[in-house]
Amino acid sequence: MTEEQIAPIVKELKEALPEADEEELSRELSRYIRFGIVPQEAKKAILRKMGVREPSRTSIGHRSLSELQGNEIGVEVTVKCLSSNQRLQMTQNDERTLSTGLVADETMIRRFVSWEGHALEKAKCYTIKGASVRTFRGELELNLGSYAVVEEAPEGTLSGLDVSKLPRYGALVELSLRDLRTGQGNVSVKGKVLSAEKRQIETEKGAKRIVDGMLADETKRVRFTSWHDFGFEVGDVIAVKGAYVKDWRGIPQLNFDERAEVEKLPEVDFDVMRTPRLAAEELQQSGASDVEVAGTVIEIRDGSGLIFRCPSCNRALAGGNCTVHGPQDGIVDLRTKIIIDDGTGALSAILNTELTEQVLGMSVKECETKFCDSEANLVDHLVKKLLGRDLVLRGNVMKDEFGPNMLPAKLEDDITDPLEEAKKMLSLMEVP
Amino acid sequence: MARNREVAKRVFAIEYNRSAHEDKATEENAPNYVISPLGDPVNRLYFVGVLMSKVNNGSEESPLYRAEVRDPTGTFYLYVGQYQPQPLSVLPTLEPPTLLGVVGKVRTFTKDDGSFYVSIKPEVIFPVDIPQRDRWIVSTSRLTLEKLKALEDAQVMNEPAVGPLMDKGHLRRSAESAVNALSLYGKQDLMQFREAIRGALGLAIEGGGRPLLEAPPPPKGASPRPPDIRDDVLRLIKECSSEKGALYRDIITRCDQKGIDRIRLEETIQELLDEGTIYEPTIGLIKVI
Repeated sequence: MTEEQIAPIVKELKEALPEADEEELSRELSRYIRFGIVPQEAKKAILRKMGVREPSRTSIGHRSLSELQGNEIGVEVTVKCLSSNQRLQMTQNDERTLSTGLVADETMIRRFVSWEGHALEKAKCYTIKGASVRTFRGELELNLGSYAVVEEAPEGTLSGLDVSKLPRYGALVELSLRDLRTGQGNVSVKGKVLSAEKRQIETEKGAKRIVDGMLADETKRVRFTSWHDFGFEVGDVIAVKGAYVKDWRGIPQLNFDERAEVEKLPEVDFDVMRTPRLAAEELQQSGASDVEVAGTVIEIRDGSGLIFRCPSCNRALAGGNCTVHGPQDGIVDLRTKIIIDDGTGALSAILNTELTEQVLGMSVKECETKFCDSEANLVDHLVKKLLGRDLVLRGNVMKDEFGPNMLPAKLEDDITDPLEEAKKMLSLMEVP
Repeated sequence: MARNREVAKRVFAIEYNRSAHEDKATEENAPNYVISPLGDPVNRLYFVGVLMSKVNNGSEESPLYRAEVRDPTGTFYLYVGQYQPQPLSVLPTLEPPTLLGVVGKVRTFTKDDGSFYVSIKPEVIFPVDIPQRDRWIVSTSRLTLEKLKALEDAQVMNEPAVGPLMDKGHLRRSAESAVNALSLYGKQDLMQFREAIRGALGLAIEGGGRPLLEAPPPPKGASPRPPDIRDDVLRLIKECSSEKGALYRDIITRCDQKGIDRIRLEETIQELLDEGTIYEPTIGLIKVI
């Protein structure tokens, strides 16, 4: 290989690595060539060694997001970043940063993934070269590998892009209300509108009418926010296509806006008179609004009975002190913390003042008088009244890092007739 | 994310007592599970039954009660000591027979010869009425039947696996239990569990509303009260005895030869210990007084 053949490659290398010494590059290149490596490949190896990322060899050129087929490599796209998250992920050998998020161009929204530290910033536009496309859980996504080069696009790129006109991300999935989970992106549901409250909000684009309410089918009741007034009323059965699910204290909540299709279904009806009853195992997975749980009280937890609350912030005082406001003359309150278990799972529940009064059969005032010297006696009394009792609770089930927690609005004894149930089960068992 | 609180499994005595495997925690603070013959991992359980006996094997100052609670399918064995404050305060005030609800943690014991025994460390005990017992029977029957049906299907499959079982309409947890049971216990005679559920439901139906003691005994097959083997066992112990007493191992061997069921032997020896006919000078040695 002659000096003349090497020179242009060295020049190209020098362009990519302006800091490098030309003679050093030339020596490096000849080392590869001596082993029979062709100059173009040697160049790439050197660039990689020096930490330069080069677009994939097999660039197939610029594509819009909707043109992607899957399994392409070396794609160039121009996109706006809609969301971006970084997290540390354990791999077999070490911890690596995983970046994921959504990007859009004028045609559609797609997900991107990078294990190589490409961090896209929300609301910025980028030109990405050398990306690959793969299919993950049935969806095409952009994979930014080690060959990918991400450059911020010049001002004015994609200036005509209006994300709110694009369809929601992901394939449309039809679900019953109980299967809604926080984070789902494009769902189709049917339900009866139990309540609908219209209100005016101010947005960047002016005043807007939105609707808050409750949607129900036979399986569950779910709070919703409609960011557009579709004109449905309480009592209507509607089909919503293209909604998304957000989290409110561990309870999935349905959201939809003008991108969704909302249709009234006059032919369909749901029996929503009964509050849906769910198994504790299901509520451990995902919280619920206005739900019924039937189980046995298997524990009365510490912190039950008469407590004192801070007059400023309502926090429970510990030894007469509020964690925020210091020593206080507390306001007396009564509550009971229980564990209710139905054999499939366990929930903690906090019975408020009224329900605790109902259980005890006496008011807060009476409790104060009767149990003023001995807090412990009141707790004993609560244990006697509640431990082992079969209850039906109705209310919201929240979920946080300590697990599911119910705030019942209603408490009743379980008076299901076991006799009928036993007969039914026995007769079913006789069927071969 | 904190670990979910361990659910109190509804399990009949017959299922619990036939457990022969456990899943011992290797990490600190991780729970221990007894794996029942239907493949159900049990860490905590809730059951309802009749308090049949309670004996303080400890002292006044540090009591250790052993109690037996009978459900329609068998007997749960409870051990209550100073670390079970609520049960320790309640149990002495109760006289057999009393209908009880018990929430407790599993307790296991493996003998030198590898034989495995389960009992209960109660967390709380409370009085229960007949309708509540019947609700317990119904929900326990339902949950047991879910596991049983999945295992019945798994036992006749060529390659039992969770996916195909779920395709047959079983819940994920039932399918997982079934696969688990099959790998630990192999193929079992499942008729006994079916009969036990039938018997329990029968009790809820026939005994409905009436005080338990007036209720008819559980139907045949559910939990036959076996003929008394007390005298046989006592004779066998005497036969194996040297001056120091009889080795537990030898008693078991002799009883096996005579065809006496291990579990019944255990129960009988415990009865004899309780009434003071025999005593255990050291572990593994039984002596007739």
